Amino acid sequence: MAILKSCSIDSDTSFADESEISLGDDLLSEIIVRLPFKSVARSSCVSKNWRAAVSDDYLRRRLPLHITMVYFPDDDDPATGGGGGPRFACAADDGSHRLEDCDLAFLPFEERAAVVVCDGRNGLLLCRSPGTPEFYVVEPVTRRWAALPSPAKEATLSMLAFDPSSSLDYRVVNFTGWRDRGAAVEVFSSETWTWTVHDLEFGVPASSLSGFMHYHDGAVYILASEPDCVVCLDVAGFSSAVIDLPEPMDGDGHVAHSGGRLHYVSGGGELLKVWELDNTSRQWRLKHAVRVEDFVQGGCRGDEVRFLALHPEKDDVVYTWSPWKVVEYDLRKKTSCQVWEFRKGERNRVVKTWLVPSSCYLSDFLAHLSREMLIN
Amino acid sequence: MAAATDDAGDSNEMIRVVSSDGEHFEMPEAAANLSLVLRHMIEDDCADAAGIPLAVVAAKPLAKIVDYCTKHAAKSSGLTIEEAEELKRFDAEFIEVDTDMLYDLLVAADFMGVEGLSKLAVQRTADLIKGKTPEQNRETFGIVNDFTPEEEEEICKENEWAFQITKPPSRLC
Repeated sequence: MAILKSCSIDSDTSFADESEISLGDDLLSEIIVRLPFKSVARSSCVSKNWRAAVSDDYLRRRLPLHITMVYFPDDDDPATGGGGGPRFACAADDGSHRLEDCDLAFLPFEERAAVVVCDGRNGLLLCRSPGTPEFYVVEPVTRRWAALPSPAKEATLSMLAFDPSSSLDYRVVNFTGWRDRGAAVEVFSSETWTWTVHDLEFGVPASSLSGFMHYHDGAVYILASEPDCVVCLDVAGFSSAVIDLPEPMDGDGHVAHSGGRLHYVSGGGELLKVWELDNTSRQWRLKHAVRVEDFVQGGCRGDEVRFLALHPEKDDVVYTWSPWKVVEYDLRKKTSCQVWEFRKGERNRVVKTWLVPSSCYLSDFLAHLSREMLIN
Repeated sequence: MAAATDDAGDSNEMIRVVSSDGEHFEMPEAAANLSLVLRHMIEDDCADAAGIPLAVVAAKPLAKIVDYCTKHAAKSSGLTIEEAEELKRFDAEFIEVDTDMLYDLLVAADFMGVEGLSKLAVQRTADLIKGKTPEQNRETFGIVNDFTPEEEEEICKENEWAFQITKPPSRLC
């Protein structure tokens, strides 16, 4: 059964039997999108036809989203050491709805305990080894990594800017010095493979910036108070813009993108509200206001529910955390669609979640950087 | 050669179809309606005594498809839990076929627009590919490895991560 006959048009055998019909692209992609993405990657090793099918752009766009997250082990048992730094996990792709830790032991550090996860974004991690100026950008799922050249200055805050929906290049933004309403930054670009120094103006007092940062299509979005707003920094041109929030921030505020539009999600209090920014009128529109109680499951309290992420295409679908699971919830239908949990008995606190196109794991954007490293 | 029709609906006329290799089959109209192509032909009054010709579907897969549609048409509405379970069992057994037949069913169900069967065959194919090594997939589907040893080494290295088995979590500290 030549399952990928549709891709063998250029081979001379496909014309031998005129009654032979090939699988259309639609049928073929129907099969491939039902595979766990590791199977998709393995399939490209079968033959040239299979490889071509898996590399097809149309197909890759149809591959399902992959859930990745940063979590803290919430372990009170002193015997196992307890606490610890942030760790990375992703949802198993075998339909088991299990969250699995991704071991970073493949990194070339002398001591495994020395890995410090500085930031994570859309499936990539920014790590460093303490006492050294080096940064590493790591793809924990495919176990690929790149060591960045040393920056000139010590950073007080480091941020990874990566958005595979717009570009496979990434940037690392190091904040090296703060002013009243601005900061000095050193920015690494994977495209040029160098660090460059820039000055940023925020448009608001630097002291009013929150630690919450979101990155989408070349811009960093930071929530700030005084006044309550979103500061939008363009990491290529280093210009900034201030977008006022639709209502005063009430504790738990988030910004996210869905369908290419900026959303503000406020989860403080009894309501989870989702606002959408109209791209032309620049006005906020309230899309959802749902009682947090409505999607609290299994006897946990409303204040234990945290917003994690918006679905990148459908802004009716949110991902929330309630002990000890990640819940996909449809705000319009008011039903939870899917639930993911760690292994039985594991109590881990998920702090950030990303929905990443699984096709980005089939790209070799870090592979070429590793080769570059060998040259250096 | 006609399909079993004992449990089909009673108000149905029988629809005749002809395979690419000239074999005639009959099924109740309700069963034929599960195929988008046949339904349109029936609506357009193209279903006559000579039978609807299906130029690209051979007798072997067509016999299976007639079976599938007849079974599903007879049990299409108001299913009890037991009947739904039975239909599921029927599907599971139905799709236990060799890869040549699976391929024929994929193509024929897609061509005839039998949605349920199309999904069933697609899922079965994906299940066969899942969790296998490239070599096992070559064996299952009779595919020749046409990479040069150098190409194969490179592409396997590129996808090395996908061959690694997930280890149980271990602490960093």
